[in-house]
Amino acid sequence: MNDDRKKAEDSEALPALPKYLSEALDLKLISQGAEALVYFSKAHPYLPATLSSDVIHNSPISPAGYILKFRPPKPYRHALLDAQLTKHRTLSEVRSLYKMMLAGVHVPMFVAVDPRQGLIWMENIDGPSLKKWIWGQEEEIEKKVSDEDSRLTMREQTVKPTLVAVGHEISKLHFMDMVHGDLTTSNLVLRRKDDGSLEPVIIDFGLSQQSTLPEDKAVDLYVLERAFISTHPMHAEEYITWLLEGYLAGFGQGKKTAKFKAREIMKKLEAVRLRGRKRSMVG
Amino acid sequence: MTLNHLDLYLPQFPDSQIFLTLYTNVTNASTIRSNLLSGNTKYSYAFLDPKSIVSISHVLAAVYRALTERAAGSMRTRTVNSEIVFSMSPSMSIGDGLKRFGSKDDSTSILVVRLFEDEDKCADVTQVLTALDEIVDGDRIPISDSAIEPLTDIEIVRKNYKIPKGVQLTNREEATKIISGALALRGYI
Repeated sequence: MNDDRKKAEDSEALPALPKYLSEALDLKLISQGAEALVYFSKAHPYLPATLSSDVIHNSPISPAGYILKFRPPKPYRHALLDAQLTKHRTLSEVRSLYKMMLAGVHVPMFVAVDPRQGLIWMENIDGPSLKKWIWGQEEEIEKKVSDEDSRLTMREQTVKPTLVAVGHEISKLHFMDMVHGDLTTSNLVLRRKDDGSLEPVIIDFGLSQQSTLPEDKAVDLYVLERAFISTHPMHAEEYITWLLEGYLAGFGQGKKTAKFKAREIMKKLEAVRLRGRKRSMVG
Repeated sequence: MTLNHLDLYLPQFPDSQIFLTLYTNVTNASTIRSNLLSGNTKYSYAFLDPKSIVSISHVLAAVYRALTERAAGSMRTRTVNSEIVFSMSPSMSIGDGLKRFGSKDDSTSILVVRLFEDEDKCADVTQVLTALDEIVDGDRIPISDSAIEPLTDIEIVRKNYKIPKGVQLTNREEATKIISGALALRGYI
């Protein structure tokens, strides 16, 4: 009994990666959430560095390395249930990721999955999170000019185009009837392209789901609004306006039903703003 | 003897040495197939049809999936070689997978995958290649993505992976992404 408890405590302290992984690969833990551990790996799971790039020039190689997302077994859950939940969640994340990749939404490339072990391999995105990037921009602008008017002009030149692009990317997701479930300024990453420009990439589909309801999409946007308000309180309103501008302009790209759908979502967003993320259970 | 094969290990499976070779102008594909069907142990290789292969990365995605399945004790087929062929497939039907992705009676080119593990560790590369050259009547050519490119039949790939007309497969890197994803998710979508 005592031994059992001790074992449980140990595994809670450090949820162990399967040995064959930790021994074989040079993995660096970069983030730990309630659900999963995120590791960085320079190595690809099945394209060893010994292969010359001349021989495999058609391989989708990520120069920025790879991410290994691991859902460790939870010792407090019944083993059978735990295995089922891990498999289910891992697969649901991967399915969304793959579906969005096919649809041309900017998401990390899906590389490999081992649903029984709760492992997902994907591409690492080289670039700052939207949150960090905006902080950097704000700081720079504050240093350069001192009056609010010219600061606004500068924000319009740098921050606005990025947020319009971010809004556009989210609209692509929603138009495919995919709801992210945890849209925050840290789950939006700006990838540096070869020409130096930034391209928004949406990461972490752990809570994503397929939904045709305008309500769910409105909640997605609302969660992002709240994130802006808490991470960038000074200009949150302005940022949200720009983001929604990109969202509405991008939604459906001129398809016939798109305008109607977008209008429904905006209507719902108004309602969600008034009542908060959770739906009232009264009545 | 020219050494134009690939010889590699996957980081997760340090005990499995993987050999890849490519043959063109093959004349005895039907003999190979009948020996495979009769279970001749000399033929413990995975013989793949390059017509539905877009890149080496594509093949290695299947090898990786087969090895992961075996590690989990959930192989669908009897041997790891047939599991590699089956792992190329995006569908759960074993017979269908082996038929579509394995070499056929009229194949004129063949990509061969060979695993070396514990008991039969590869001691001598030339010996291995000689044994293989005896089995396959054809020209062993240097294996690379550029060598595979002209052997692929993109329309067969499109059909085997049920890829809609709207999705472009001309860019091999993009095609590899899409197809490797499809086979990794076999049975899970």
